[in-house]
Amino acid sequence: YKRLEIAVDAYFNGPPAAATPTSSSAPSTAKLNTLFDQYKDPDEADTIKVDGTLRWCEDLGIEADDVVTLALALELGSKELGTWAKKNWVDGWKRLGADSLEGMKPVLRTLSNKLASDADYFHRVYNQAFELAKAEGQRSLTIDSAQAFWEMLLPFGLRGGALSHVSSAVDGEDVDMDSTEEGFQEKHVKWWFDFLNQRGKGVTKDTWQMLYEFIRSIDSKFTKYDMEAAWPSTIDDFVEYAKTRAAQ
Amino acid sequence: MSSSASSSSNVVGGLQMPPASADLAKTWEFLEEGVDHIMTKLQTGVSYSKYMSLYTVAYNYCTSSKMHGTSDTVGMGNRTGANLMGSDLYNNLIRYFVAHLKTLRDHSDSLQDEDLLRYYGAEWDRYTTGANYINRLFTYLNRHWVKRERDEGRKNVYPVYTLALVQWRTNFFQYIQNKNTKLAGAILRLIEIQRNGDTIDQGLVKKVVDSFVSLGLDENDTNKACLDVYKEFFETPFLETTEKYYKQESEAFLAANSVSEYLKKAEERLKEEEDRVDRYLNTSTRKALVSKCEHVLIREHSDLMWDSFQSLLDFDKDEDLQRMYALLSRIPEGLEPLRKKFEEHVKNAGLTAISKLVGEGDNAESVDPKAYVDTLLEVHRKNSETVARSFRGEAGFVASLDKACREFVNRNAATGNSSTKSPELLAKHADLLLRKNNKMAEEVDLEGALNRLMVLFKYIEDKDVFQTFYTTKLSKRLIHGVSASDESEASMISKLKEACGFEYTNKLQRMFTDMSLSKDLTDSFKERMQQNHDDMDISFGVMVLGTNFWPLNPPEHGFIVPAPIQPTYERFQKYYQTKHSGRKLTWLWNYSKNEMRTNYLNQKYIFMTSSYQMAVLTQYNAAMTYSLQELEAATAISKDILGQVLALLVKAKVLINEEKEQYDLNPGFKSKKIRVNLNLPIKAEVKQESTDVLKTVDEDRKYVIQATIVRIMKARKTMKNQQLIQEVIAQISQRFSPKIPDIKKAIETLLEKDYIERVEGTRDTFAYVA
Repeated sequence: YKRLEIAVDAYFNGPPAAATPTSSSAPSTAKLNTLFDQYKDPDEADTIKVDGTLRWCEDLGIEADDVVTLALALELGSKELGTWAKKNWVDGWKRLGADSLEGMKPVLRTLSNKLASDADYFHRVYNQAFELAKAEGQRSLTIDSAQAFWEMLLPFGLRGGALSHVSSAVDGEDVDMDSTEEGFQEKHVKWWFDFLNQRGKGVTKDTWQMLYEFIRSIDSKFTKYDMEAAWPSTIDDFVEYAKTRAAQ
Repeated sequence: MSSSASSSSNVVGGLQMPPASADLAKTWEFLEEGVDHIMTKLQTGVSYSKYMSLYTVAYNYCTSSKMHGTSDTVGMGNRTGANLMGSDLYNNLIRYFVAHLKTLRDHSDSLQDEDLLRYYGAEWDRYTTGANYINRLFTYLNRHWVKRERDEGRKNVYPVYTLALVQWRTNFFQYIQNKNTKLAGAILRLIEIQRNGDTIDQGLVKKVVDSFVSLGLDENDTNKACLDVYKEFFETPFLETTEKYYKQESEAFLAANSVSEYLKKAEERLKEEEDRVDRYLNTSTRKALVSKCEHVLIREHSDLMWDSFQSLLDFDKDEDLQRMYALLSRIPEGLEPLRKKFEEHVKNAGLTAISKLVGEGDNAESVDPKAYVDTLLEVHRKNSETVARSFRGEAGFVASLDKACREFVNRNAATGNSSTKSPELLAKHADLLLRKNNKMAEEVDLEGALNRLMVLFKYIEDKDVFQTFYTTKLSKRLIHGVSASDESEASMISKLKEACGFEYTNKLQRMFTDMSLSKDLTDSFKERMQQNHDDMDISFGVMVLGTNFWPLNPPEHGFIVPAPIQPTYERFQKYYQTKHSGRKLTWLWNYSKNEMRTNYLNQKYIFMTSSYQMAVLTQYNAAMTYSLQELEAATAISKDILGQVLALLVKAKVLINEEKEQYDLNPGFKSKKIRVNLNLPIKAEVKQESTDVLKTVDEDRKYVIQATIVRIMKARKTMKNQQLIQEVIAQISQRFSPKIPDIKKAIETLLEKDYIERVEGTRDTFAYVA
């Protein structure tokens, strides 16, 4: 057990070379199968469903709506909210290098840190979250579910730096390093929600995906926005809304 | 010159002709006397025999093979005898010319200006005439010695005539010129005198100027004209003084006169200078002179002209505009500011005219279509005349006119922010023209009016709106039978087709086809009924109209076919189904009409009614009074429409409505006319029309934009947002001007429907999804 802990530490703290655990500390498939079965659905032996997920989260000591669950969904190939296929789950954990609840906890912390600060990783998790949030057979999200997921993701990414502002300086243009332009801020998330509720239409996949690009590139005054660029009209309208609100 | 009289046949003039073997001194003595005679006293005449003997002596000397010890002034090296003979004569000729010109020089010293020119001109004539003779005298020398020398590369040896000119240039012309350019200066002063309005001896100027041209010499080919002397000694200073003169004159003139006056002046001056070239300058000067004058007279004052253009337009100064156009068209970029100002001017004229019209009507909503069209046309007519008359129909001004018209025709005080108002008004005007009983009954006028309407149509941006309104209006004209003439309708459609293509008028043409098919159908149905039934006391006409081509909607409520027409209704239905099985007939009761004979009154009237009115009135065949509810049940017409139908009948006093929701037949109905038209439009219908049309347009547009995007993306596979938008605008703008937000919405719809997708890793590139 002690050796496992050392191995896990080595995996997460050490250089990438340590990512391949030695055979002695390799997570045990048998242990993972056993652990999976504790949470499996009574009717479908190869699936953990929402009930099992809730219990599992509790055992892991996290809230069910912790943003890290979205990262886990990506890592463990979950295609539906709160639903986990056994094979993907076991394979995923073997990749992550944990085969017990205690072993999983530090992995969650690491994933959480990575999600907060690694922009590319955040982007992948973000795009995948649309599929999780979508009801089956629907093309777009209801405002409520979109809002729930954004509440998990956006403030988290903004605080951690994964959604930090990227200056829109074009290639070849001199970037003034002294002027640190401010970008999209947490309060704007609320504006976005207010706007959507006032507008009262669903959220398309395109709007979901482009919002990520928008948040990273827009300045806090919403001045560097090109209405004729390829933004979805929802975002066009939001900029109008935000400009008015910023002026008040 | 020596002269000794003799009468021998060998003796010519003063000297005896030397023998063929005579030495140089003797020979030249004889020749020089003759040469001098020719050069200075030609007017006294030279006899043929004298001329021949001179020629012979020159010939003999050149052909003699003896060696004469002579000097070698021309600087040739070792020569054969014949060569030396030639150079002997040549050098002596030079000496003669030099001496001769010295005397002219001395004489010219005291002369100035015109006197100098006269002297120079006279001597030039004499000299060149003489030199011509001398040249022929020494033909043999030219042909042999001179030619060989030149062939061997000694280009400073010339044929005798050219030699004379070269000598004139060096020893006389340059001598005078060197004194403060006395010669050219004298010409320039004369030209200035002429520019100041006095008469000068143009022949004299021409002669002297021509001498400058003659004095130019191409070293390689003496026969070739060369303008270097002319250019250096005359043209360059001439252009300089010209510039100075007109700079000073134009500034002074403008300080004292209006721009209009100046335009005249400049035009005259330019013409004068061109004439000057024709009169006495070498034509090669034309280009430089004209461009110099254009620069000084036009370019230098173009700002001022541009500035006063507006006021010329404002006061319709056609002639001045013509002049300004003509002048500014001569300099590069001279017209561009005018075109811009003209465009602005036309635009403002259009906007002002419409504002005035709207102001009079006091309400932008109720603008009269005819007044609107007439106002727009008047602005167009006036300004297109200006383009034709003052700007010679120049393409740039035509473009300015078109641009301005497109602007004010689509956006003005009557349209407000609506891009559909103008096409609507135009379509309404077309409807008024094409209706029966319009004021422009005469054929010629109507055709002219339609043509004028097309002038404006060209400028309409939202041609699809016009199309939709036009279609609606046309359908009304056709189903109500109020079209003025088929010929005019066809003429208008062919105009629209010419302007927008087959697709644009396809529906319209189908409507006419339906009309004529319906006529045949009615006739054949009638025929069939006459054969089969004898109870046909109803005369029945029908129009079967293709759902896709006619902007007509069936009633939203039900309709119980009234009993009296029930048999006809069923028979037609059956007849049609046997003729065209599988086709669905939808009865547009809301567009149908009837004529009914009254039998319940002393006087027999004919009521012209809508089918709804007919459905109500036929109920009264059974009873004198009905409640609203009963009528609703009997006809199935919706309550609000039925209410309006009844209101009209009550207003016409056919029905009486004394108690609430109860309607009695009025037994005392009276009318002055036998035919009573009860079929008046229902208010709701009229109002709804415009909004319906616009809704249709909006829907059509969404579809058109999406279809266009798909077509483009299918061809291009991937495309950047910006390019895609540009391309869509380019492809659609013939029909209407798509708005960018609408295009973006269409893109979104297509993204959602998976017709296209964003290219991964890009924000602004789309790909076609096959």
